[in-house]
Amino acid sequence: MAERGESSEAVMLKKTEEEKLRKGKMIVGDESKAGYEEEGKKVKLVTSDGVTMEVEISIVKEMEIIQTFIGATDTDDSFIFPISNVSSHILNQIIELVKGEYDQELAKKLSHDELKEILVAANYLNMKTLFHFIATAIANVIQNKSVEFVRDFFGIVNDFTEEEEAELRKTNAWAFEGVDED
Amino acid sequence: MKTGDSKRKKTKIDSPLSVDVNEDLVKEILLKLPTKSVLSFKGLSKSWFSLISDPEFARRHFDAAVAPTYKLLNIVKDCAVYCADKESALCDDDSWHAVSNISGFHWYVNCISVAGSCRGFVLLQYLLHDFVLWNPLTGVQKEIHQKRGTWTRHHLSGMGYDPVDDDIVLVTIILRIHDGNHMLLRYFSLRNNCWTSVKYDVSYVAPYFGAELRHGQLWNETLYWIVKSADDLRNVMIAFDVREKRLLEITLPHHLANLPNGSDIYHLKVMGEYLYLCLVVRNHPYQLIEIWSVKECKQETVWTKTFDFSFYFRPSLNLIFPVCFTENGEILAFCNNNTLVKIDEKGKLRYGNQNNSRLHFLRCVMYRESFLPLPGDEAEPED
Repeated sequence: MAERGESSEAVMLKKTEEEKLRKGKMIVGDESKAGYEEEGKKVKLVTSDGVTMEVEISIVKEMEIIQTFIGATDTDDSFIFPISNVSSHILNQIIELVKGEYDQELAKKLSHDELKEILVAANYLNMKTLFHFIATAIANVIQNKSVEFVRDFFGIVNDFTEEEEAELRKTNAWAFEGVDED
Repeated sequence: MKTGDSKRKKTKIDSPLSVDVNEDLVKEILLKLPTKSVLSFKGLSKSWFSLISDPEFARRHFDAAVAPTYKLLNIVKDCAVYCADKESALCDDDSWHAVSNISGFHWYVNCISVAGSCRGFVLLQYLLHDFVLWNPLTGVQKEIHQKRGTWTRHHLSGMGYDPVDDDIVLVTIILRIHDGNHMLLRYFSLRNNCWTSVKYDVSYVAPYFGAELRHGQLWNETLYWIVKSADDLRNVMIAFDVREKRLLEITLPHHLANLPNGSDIYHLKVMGEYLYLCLVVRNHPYQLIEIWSVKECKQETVWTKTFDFSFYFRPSLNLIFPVCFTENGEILAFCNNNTLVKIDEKGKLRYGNQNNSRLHFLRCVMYRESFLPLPGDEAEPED
């Protein structure tokens, strides 16, 4: 009974999220609407590899690190913001993910390096929804995977001695069993 | 993976900063993983080991758990401990896995019962004196002893959580001490590492189903037990508010307090948002099991009959001990102490495939896996 109660709450949450997304979309699409004139505007971002990219303000608004600057200065077309930690390739990926309304299917197409770079970029740009989304995507990749797979994923060097590692595996043997194949 | 290796090397040379996922970011990913994966990742490296062992991480993982893992734990003959996911507990013996990280456990299994669980800890009771609080996931354990001799054996026990002090509290109750007019409640605070005794000017009688009812049910920060009134005529519910450290008596409605001969309350269980009470009615040639539920417990309680099952009278009692709800709304329960069954909404019993001889409802508990340390244990070793 409780389980049922919980799941219906989860469904409700999902619905409001969807509604939010739909509203966001409506506003972006409806350019004639007064008060949202700035929606068509673009902001120039300079990436780590020196590329200047024009990004729709609706996407830039999710980047809280830039948002503070937009709020402070009266933005016009000359507004240029350097994002020295993010490459143009990763920024393009981010734009696609935001436009794709954070669909986990899109994340499945990303390489391991791309996933990690987007996570670091989302953290740097302070994009909360993207960060949550990409951390979940990485969790999905490494969940129930072997220790060796995850070491390889993050480029981690095993600094346990053989005895220490054997002891750890022995104590929690069940957790190491039934993992997916790499 | 040749290509993987060369690719990684290349990335490192080209942009050494871009894929350096630091510890804070790793932590955010781990918070989204179930306990099993996180536990195995302790073996990745020393820094991952200490990150996962950090009490602060444990707390965040417990609070944020996307999908909390509930397991059924059972202590078997040779003092081995087995766990199963509650969804697959009934499937077969393979769905149970051994838990090896309990140490110094040389007790007779028949003398052990599981007195409760909360926040990833399981409370084991040996005879009526000694307790072990144990986190089966991390292996953290602590023995808690009562002074022998000074105290007569207690009738009731239980464990609860005080969210304000972030403390786990053990409770034992002697329903009637020597003079016959008083009861004695003792509680042990893990954070303060000490027992406190409180004497009350009331006394009760242990119920007929003493073993089945001795372990209190933790529900909304309060422990509940069913006992008999001092004159042995009525069923009474008593409760201990773990936060306020207060004992309460809760009146049961007349039809549950004053049961006819041959009927008795034999079990109390929290499942989901409700507290359930199990009743056996012996009515020749049938035996009836009734399960009543209540949504909130104030001074007076309003109970609703939720299930009833009838059996032909057999020499041995067929009692049903509910354990929990499964995801599709069935009840996982013990039938006759040692057989795990599922009961659907219509009250139909479904038996599993496993050899049930090693299961026993008194040594079985549902707990939520957590990495949480013992309250008061998080401090540096020099403290």
